Amino acid sequence: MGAQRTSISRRTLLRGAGLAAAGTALSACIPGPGTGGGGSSGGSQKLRLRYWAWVDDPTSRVLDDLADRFNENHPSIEVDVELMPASAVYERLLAAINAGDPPDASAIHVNNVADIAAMGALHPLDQYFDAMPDKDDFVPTAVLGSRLGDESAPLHTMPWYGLVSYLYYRPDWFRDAGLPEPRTTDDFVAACRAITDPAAGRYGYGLRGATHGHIHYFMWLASLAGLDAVRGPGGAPVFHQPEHIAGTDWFLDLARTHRVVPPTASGDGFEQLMNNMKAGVTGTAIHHIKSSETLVSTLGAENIRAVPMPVGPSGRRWTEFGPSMNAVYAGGQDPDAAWEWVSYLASPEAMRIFCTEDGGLPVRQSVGSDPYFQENPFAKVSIDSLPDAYLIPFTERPGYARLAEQTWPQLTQPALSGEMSSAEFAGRLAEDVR
Amino acid sequence: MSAGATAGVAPRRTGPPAAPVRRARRRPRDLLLPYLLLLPACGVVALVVAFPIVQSIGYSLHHYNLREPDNAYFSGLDNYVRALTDEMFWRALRATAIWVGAVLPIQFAIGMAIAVLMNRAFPGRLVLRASVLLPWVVPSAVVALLWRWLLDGNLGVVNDLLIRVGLIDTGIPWLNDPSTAMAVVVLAMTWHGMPFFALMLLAALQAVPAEMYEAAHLDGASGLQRFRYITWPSIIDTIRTTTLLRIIWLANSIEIIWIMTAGGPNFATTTLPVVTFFEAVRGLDFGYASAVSVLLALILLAVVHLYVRQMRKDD
Repeated sequence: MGAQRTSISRRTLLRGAGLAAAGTALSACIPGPGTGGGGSSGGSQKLRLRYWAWVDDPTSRVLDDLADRFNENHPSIEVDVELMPASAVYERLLAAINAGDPPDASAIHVNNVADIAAMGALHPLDQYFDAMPDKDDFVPTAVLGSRLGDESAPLHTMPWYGLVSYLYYRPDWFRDAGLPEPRTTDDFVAACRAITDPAAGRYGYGLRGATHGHIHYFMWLASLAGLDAVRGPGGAPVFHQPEHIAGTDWFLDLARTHRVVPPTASGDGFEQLMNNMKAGVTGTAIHHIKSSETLVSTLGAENIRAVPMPVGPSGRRWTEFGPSMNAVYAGGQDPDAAWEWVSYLASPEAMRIFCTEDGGLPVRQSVGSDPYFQENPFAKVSIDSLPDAYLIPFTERPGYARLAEQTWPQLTQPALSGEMSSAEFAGRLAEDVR
Repeated sequence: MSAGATAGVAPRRTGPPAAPVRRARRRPRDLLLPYLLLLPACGVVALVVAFPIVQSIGYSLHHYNLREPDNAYFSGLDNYVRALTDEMFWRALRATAIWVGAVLPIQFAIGMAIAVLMNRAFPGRLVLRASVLLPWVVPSAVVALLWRWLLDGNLGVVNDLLIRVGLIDTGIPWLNDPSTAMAVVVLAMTWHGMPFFALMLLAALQAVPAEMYEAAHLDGASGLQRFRYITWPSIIDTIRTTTLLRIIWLANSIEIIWIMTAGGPNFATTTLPVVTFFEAVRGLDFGYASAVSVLLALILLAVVHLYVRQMRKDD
């Protein structure tokens, strides 16, 4: 009882503080007499929608340009785009929702949707989506992503674009070693062994041991033995199963036995993965289309290629589908107006512009068939991988962030060096999402 | 000499003793005025210092996670019990002690050596003074990125130089090996904070009257004796203040560790501020993060108390 009273007063207090802050900010925005505001133009008040998002290139104006196009065609709405780093969007969202002052809409990563939905902050979008005449144009995996992988769940967010992971490799290294492109996990290990030369500072595989590298670990495990070796029927981790331990052995042996990863692998994140590929330290690495431009510009188009994730011994392949989406907030000013904006972003025109500029994959089939995407070899590999692309498991679990950002990066060093057994490593990871 | 001495003596009062001065009765308004003048400053301090402290203590007594704002409730000392029974807390406390215990003396020793050097007249002294300041004016995030690049296991300059001179065959993963990670973050922090000691100690050294050294020189004191009996006692108060401040800053610092190693590998550089940061910013567990930060503050208070008591004893 006491606990309940405390929670209500805290929430009320936070909401009050948020409203006070919002009120102050809003009062500063209200134009005074003679400032040429809406009042002098016939009394029509524009609804100013707050939209938070991130783009890979912070100097890019693509979202501002899209907002300008939208604003031109919607005289009663003005979208204010605020760009910030991807992690900041989530952190600010949590603070704003707790203060009762969320934005009207925002971009959101699939990993964060469950948390925000659990707070009751999302405005369900099924009703709007179902009324769209071209809703079947959306890639089913993307729509499923907006339902967090559960067909019966509400449509939490509006699909926007997606990313599919695949394997980059250096064709020049493979050619010199007389190797075919890696189609199976056995090919992959053999190729990595063949191209590794520590004395020359060359390694076969750029393993991501830093934050979020667990995604690649899950991808290898699921390709080797199926997703059942990672997640049980109830969604719980099954990291104690023999298939899982065998897969973990296979993964850790890349460092322990085959020694085909750089000695820095336990601390290598995205930045190091890319730098190592560009500097000729590693010959293969997992990532998605967004890194293709920088790799091509550094290595040359002839020296970097992509293939779908190698197939495991059972003939299975499993890769990550990372959807990015837009959310509409229940606590926003006008969810209908916010829907107008996020549905515009998902329109063929806006999706084509955004994906061309920002580098993501369109999640509309009509846009995906555009020659620009079909002729791009990296987009083609992504599209070819789509049938085997799924949401990463456990993102709906509260401990997922700890697994991705603390336990995984801290434990990869003892695990890859052989100080920690595969079973202990897997068990410690499972603790976070059990 | 005698003139100066005479000038320093107050003239002796002659004649009958003056009647005691009666203190005028002060009106209540005059009594209140100083407090009224202090009020704005007190208000600011209360707002920016006292309020966050009280709020942190309040949070630490609650289960309060931003992911579940409707499930916030008073939980008494649960967060403290959780921290004190968590092996990670004690590991982080040990790492914090190693971090402060390693950085502080090295920074002090180098800072003192530079201050003594810069206190002498030599060509280029001004250039040296300006260049010594550089590590201090560079933002700590930039310092961390700079050292991370220098020490990169694959592409870093340090490994490249060591390989070129034949000291090593392959690159050392400085930041990814638990046996070297703490040493390299200590190195980066030492480089960054050393000018603080150098400048503060230089200022103190310059306040020591030159006559004292001249007199000691005439009395035949050696350089070491002059340092021990003149320099050290003259600057000891500055040393105490600067080391005390540095202990507090170091124990609370996070940027360099977070950017260079994020507390890894295998928690080798996870200090208490790293735990607090992770729990608050990534875990969004404000209750637990507040409890850890309150515990760190209490530990620091105890250290400061012991330090100040020892200072008084020495005096």
